Amino acid sequence: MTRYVVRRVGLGVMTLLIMSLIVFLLINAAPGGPAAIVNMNATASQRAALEKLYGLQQPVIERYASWLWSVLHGNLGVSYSLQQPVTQVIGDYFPNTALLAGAALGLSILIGVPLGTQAAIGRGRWLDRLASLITMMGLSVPDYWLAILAILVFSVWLHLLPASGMNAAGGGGGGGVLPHMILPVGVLTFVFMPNVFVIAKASMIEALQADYTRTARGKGASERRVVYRHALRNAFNPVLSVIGLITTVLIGGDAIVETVFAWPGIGRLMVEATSQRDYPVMMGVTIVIGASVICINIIVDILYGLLDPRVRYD
Amino acid sequence: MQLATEHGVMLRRDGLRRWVRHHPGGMAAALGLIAIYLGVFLGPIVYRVSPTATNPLAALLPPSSAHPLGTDPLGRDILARLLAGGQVSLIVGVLSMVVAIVIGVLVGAIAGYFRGTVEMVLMRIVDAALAIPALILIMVEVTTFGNSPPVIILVIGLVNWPAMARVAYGEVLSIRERLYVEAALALGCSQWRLLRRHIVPQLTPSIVSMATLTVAWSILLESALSFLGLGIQPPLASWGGMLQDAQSYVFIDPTLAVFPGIMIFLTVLCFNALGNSLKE
Repeated sequence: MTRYVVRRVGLGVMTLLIMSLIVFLLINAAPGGPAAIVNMNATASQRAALEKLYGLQQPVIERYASWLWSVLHGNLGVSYSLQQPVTQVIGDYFPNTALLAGAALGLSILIGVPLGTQAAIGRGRWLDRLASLITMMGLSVPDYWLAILAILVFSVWLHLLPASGMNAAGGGGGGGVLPHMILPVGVLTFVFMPNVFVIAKASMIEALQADYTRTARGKGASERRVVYRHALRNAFNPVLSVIGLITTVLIGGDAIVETVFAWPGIGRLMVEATSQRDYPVMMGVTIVIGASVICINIIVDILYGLLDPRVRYD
Repeated sequence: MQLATEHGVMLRRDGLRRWVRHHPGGMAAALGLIAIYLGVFLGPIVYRVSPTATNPLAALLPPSSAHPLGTDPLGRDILARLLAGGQVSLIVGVLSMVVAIVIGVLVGAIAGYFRGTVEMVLMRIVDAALAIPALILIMVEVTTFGNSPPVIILVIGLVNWPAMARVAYGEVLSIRERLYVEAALALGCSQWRLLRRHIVPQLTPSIVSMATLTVAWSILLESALSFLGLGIQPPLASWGGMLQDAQSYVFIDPTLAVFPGIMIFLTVLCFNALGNSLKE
């Protein structure tokens, strides 16, 4: 087990290194650089001065090495556009994304798993059909379109909920974080819950047909106990992997939903940094998200074994 | 020999008929897609209104006989833009799927077949690519390579190949252990021929359903990118771009958001339904 974790962490660090190199090279291959964006009327000498200030005249590999060196010392550089340390900027935005992602993830699990279980028990009944219909819609609808429609209905027509931002009063529903969260969390849940539902249903169907379920029934266990103790526990590993997958997507901040609702999260930060060619922020966000994703994957793989003793690490 | 081929054809036709009977949803989705493709590509031949001609005097008109779906804030005809935008979305969706499949299957098959160091290196790259959220990677790539349609196709394909590689890799791992692979090797079949003739063709069923689902995902990605203003650039129409315009006018003319959204939704729905029924 310890050996497995050590190996996984080692592989993770390697993956992160490769990823950072790929992204660094990609970003630095961009023509123009930040100097092209800062001021369109800037003279050649002004640009050169700016490039010198940011150290952009050195070869790419040297820059990558010095970037990596400072990252190892916990320094992600200074944002070009915000003139603040990148670690501080990310520290400001990341909790907001975590709040949104956590709420959407929690709701998706709380709705998706019981719904999938019930759909698996009563296949073809109305609940299954209804849930499958909603699932198909959730998987196909563009989240930002749903977001616009939600704003239209709940903010423009009904004046019930604020259309954008995180705290400011205005629109409807007054100030405070909670009313601002309802629409984005609702949209994210509608889009992500179906993934949980599909997997939960499929693995529950399989588990309910397995021999151990028949044995449990034969022993005279109550139906409730059969479903929730025997079948669900066995069906949970595929569900866990889809939860891990959703977490990795959500942790990157659903850039689009955050943009539509003007939610100050990490996804929106990335969109803004990209349009302003804020290289240090782009690099910082990518590396922080990449590291989180790799951590989540390792945690999920360890959880497999904790939840299901049949899983062996080698 | 003749008999064998005839039998093969019969079997295949029978399979198609059975698929139609057991998957009415998949069949409806296939018909829906044919209708969308025909409408979008043949529609402009019948409906000859320019999708890019602006007319400030005819801005934000409600539907009328001259403009069946009304006009947008610049006075452009919405139906014409819907058709033109559809061409872009559908072409980008299909071509970027092709890019993803070619790279993904190649990498996955090579990693799964040759194992060892090759496998180690290739799969680490796949992991690294999978660790970056799709939209973020696309944003970085678009900053670097610009956002002309060919680049968008390439960039979306480049985001989707790692998932394809994982599927191909998993399948090849099990296929290479089968007896007929060993038999082919014993007969002196070269490694490349073995991969090309005996292993990759076995992947077809899973590739076809993955491909269909990938087109759906690619269309969603392209529209999202255009919605953020990083994808297809005006004056070229795209469904995502139309929704971006609609968002700034949501308080003035909410109907702008309706049609492009419905088109994306229906197209993606059809691809998803078809992909799911093919998977079964």
